[in-house]
Amino acid sequence: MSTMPQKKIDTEGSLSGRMQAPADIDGRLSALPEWNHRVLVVEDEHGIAEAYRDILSPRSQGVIPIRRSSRSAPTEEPTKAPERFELVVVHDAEAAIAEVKRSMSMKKPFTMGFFDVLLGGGMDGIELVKKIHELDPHLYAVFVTAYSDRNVDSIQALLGEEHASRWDYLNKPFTQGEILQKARNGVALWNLTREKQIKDEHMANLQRQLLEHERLATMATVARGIGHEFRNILTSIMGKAELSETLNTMDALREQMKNILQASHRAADVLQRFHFLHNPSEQKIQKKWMFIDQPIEEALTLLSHQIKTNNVRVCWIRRKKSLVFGNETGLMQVFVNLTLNAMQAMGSSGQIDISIVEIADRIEVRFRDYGPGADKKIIDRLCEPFFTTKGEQGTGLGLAIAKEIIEVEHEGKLTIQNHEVKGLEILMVFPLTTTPTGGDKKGG
Amino acid sequence: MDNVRRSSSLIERARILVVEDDAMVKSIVVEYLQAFGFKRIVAADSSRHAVRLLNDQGEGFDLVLSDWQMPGVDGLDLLRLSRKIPYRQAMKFIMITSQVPEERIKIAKARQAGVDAYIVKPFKGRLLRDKIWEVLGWGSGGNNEAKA
Repeated sequence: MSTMPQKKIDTEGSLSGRMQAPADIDGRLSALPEWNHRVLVVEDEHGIAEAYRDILSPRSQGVIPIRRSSRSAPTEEPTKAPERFELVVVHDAEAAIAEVKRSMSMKKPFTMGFFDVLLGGGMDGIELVKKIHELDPHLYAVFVTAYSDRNVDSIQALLGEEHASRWDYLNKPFTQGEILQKARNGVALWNLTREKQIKDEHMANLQRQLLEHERLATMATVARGIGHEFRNILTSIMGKAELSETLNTMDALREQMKNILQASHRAADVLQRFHFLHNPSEQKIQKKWMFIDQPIEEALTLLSHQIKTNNVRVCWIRRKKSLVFGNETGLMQVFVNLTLNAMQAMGSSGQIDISIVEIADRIEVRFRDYGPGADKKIIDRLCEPFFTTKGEQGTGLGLAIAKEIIEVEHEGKLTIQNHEVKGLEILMVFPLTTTPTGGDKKGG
Repeated sequence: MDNVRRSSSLIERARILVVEDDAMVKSIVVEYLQAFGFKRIVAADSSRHAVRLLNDQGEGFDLVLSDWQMPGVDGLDLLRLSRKIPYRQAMKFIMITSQVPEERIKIAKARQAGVDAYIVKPFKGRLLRDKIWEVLGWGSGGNNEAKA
């Protein structure tokens, strides 16, 4: 038996389960788990069971003792088996089920199995595999049958179409080459599938992390502005309180308290703004009816400090009160990203024009800056994930996320173009929906 | 006694420019200065206003207390500008800032540009007073003169 170390495998529903593949600093996978070589054999004839052992788990490593079946060509050379299969041989269906259960509970599943179709006792090989697939859907089954007790069509009919990729068929008598190669195929299929799942999961994880990173970066920018405002407010509150010691009339004191309260209210207002970014994951899919200028206004308020210090003027060119059924937090993030992009493009001062108009069956929101615009060569790439013109400062996700929020969550369209005069213009088109209480498909 | 009298007259004579675009902070700084005994306080609510004042030779200032983050011309610009004006060489400059990580770099820049002191928001009156006394060369810390 092989002593090859086995990685822990979460067997509930997925080959890789919650297993985290180790990754290096660039997020590339640096190591995948060692291959699983576990193979199950269910064969009631002891002589044939022995044959499996000789082929897949020979006592002298490396060379398989020659064992010729009647079909083997007289010149067949002993086949080299460089890999070591971890073989479990059982003689009836009950023992097979017990082994599979055990393998699952030990988190050491079988990659594949050879199943004699005609087993002594109640259950035949096909029924057995059907049962086993309920316990371990990833096990690859090879039916081994003599004569034509079952043909592939009857097996297909019994197992169903959805199982078709998980079984194969082999006639007795078999050659060692056939068994060895089927075992190799089964093991490889299982392990490559697992590796693909790990890689896919790793990629999905990376994507999630990057989105989270982008969201945090946005929050950090907003938080910096808020921190600055808080410092101002606290300076005022602390000062007023401290200076109240020097006041000697009740009226003056009352006035000072009023000032302190005013400053505290301002602090509360600032906090109120911040709550929108509190836990976007919770509000992620909550949609409601709102005027489209609302999330824009909120984004601008959140960034009011940056807008002020960057000397940016915001002009509402048109402001149609258009209703959209949308996710407020998501839309706000879009406009925070667009505003930050615009400010970065314009440098120390500039202007942002915003317009909302309704044309025929759609709402058009234009968001334009007065920066240098984008090079024609790259303008189509601006919405690609990880494409950035800001070097180390950008994650390259701001516009990609904006596009996703507009197009996937809101069935809209986001396009980027250079304004004919100056700057970059982001055009967002939303479908014009019917009244909020009407029988709209999205309403409710 | 003589000392106290001399200080009081120094305080009353000193002319201070406060540059702060946040009305609340501006008013509290002015109130502090009044509590310290200063009589000649000019408050500019924008850096543009401050630039105009600094470029006017008729406006004499012993000290500028300036916010850092302001739209357009910021505190550092104002500091650099005043260091270039020949008749502002003796004028002291205190920068009021928020201590976020990137501002530490800014503080270093301000030092290079010749800032006399900086103070981080939010601050206590005592600290503001100590910094002013220090940069005006009136001695700092424990004395009781003109205490708020």
